[in-house]
Amino acid sequence: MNSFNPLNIIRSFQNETQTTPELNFLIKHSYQISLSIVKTRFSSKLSNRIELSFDDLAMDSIVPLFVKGKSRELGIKRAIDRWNDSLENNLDVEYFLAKIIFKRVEQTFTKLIKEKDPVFEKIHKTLSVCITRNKFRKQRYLGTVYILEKGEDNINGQLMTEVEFDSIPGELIKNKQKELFEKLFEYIKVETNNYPAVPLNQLVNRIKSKYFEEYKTSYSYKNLIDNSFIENDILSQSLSSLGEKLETFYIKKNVVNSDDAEKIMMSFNDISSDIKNGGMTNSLFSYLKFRKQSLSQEEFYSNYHHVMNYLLKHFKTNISHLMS
Amino acid sequence: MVVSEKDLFTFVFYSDKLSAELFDYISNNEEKFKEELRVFNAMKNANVADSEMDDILKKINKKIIEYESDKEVILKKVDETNASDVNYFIVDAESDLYGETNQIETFSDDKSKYLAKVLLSSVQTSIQILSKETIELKDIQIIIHPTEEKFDLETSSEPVTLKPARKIESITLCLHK
Repeated sequence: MNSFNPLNIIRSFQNETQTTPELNFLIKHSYQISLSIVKTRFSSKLSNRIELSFDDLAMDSIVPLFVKGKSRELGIKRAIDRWNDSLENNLDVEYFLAKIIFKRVEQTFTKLIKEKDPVFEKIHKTLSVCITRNKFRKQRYLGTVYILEKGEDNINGQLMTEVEFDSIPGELIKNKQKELFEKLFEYIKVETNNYPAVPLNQLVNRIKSKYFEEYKTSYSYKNLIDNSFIENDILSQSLSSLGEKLETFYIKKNVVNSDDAEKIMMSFNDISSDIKNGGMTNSLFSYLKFRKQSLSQEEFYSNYHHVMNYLLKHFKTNISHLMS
Repeated sequence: MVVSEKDLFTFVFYSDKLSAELFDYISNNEEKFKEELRVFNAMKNANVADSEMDDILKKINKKIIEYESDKEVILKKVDETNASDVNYFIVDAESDLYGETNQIETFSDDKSKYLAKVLLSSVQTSIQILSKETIELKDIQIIIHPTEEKFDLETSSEPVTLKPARKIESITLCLHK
């Protein structure tokens, strides 16, 4: 940390006596840690799913640490007060910073995914309720949230790699709620040499893939038998509901004309396709502009933003209900 | 031997603080701890150029100010003759569920980043909060004036319904609780 001593700086923040040079130094140091984490742990996931630069994700992740909350304390001060481990020396302090920034980056990234992917969000929420209700434990390791068995406080062993977790038989992923976790813990203990810990976001993605795979299989099978087009996938049903809303309300009340309604519908088809493949990749303005080339930002915010914002909310709510 | 995340961090950053046993074990099993060592070594060697860092610091400070100024926003009544007609459809299309609406009022902040649509009927008042920049707001609090009632909302996607109906003069929107 150049001429600044990590322990002295953290003490200053703990006592709320930090100077501006100390604050600036900690911001810069936190940014370096954050950027490093983004590049080493989130770079491949970021480029595929989120329209945000590494720099921006790194910055957005640490901003809350330097903002005062309701208690008028800086986020970093609250983090220091909540830290359960020792902060006696520079090693402790550097490790503390690494851990809280790992957590911040993961939380920021997951929040972005949820905003772009309502299916991911729904599954994540359902599993989170299950985890709390059944008292499974959550532990972070290199920023990844792992779910441990009830009663386990720490990760005490080798964790599965991403590739190993993706190789777990699909049959296990079909289980629900508590049984899902119990079967996974059992599989990991019996079939592998690894510590029974389940990576939460990776599990959500596997469940999502399994879900769409089954609908596709079911649809293909029925199409073969009936030789007719059957819409039985939740995104299709949710899209149908949007179409109906456009017809019965927005066109009827002259909020939008038929031509615009068609372009809005095409935008939501694009959104639906992106959600199936990982989540929304653009803003609502960009989606509509792709279908209506002459659209300006001003025109969008004046005439279409509220329509699409509301319809997207409705679309997400529908997906959530159908998945329930 | 059980090796914790902190042990691996210590191996990379402060190897002299590690016990000889642990140091030797990790050194002889680097392949096993490949990912952790990769991440921590990258962190140790992270070095953004000073000239670049000054720009970054300015950007972060700007974000901090924006984050803090967004925390409490006052929504004042908008002159309905200027409110866009398009705003009316933000009410759920099945708005007859809210009972017969006698009046719809629009509230907005100075920068027009946030909007509140207030539906007044004889029996209730419904408040819907919208953001121009994000699909929904999470974990917010609204304070209605002059009654000073506070409502904590997990999400802005559901309206706040008040019975009996109340007249609202302004709304304080508290973000980032």
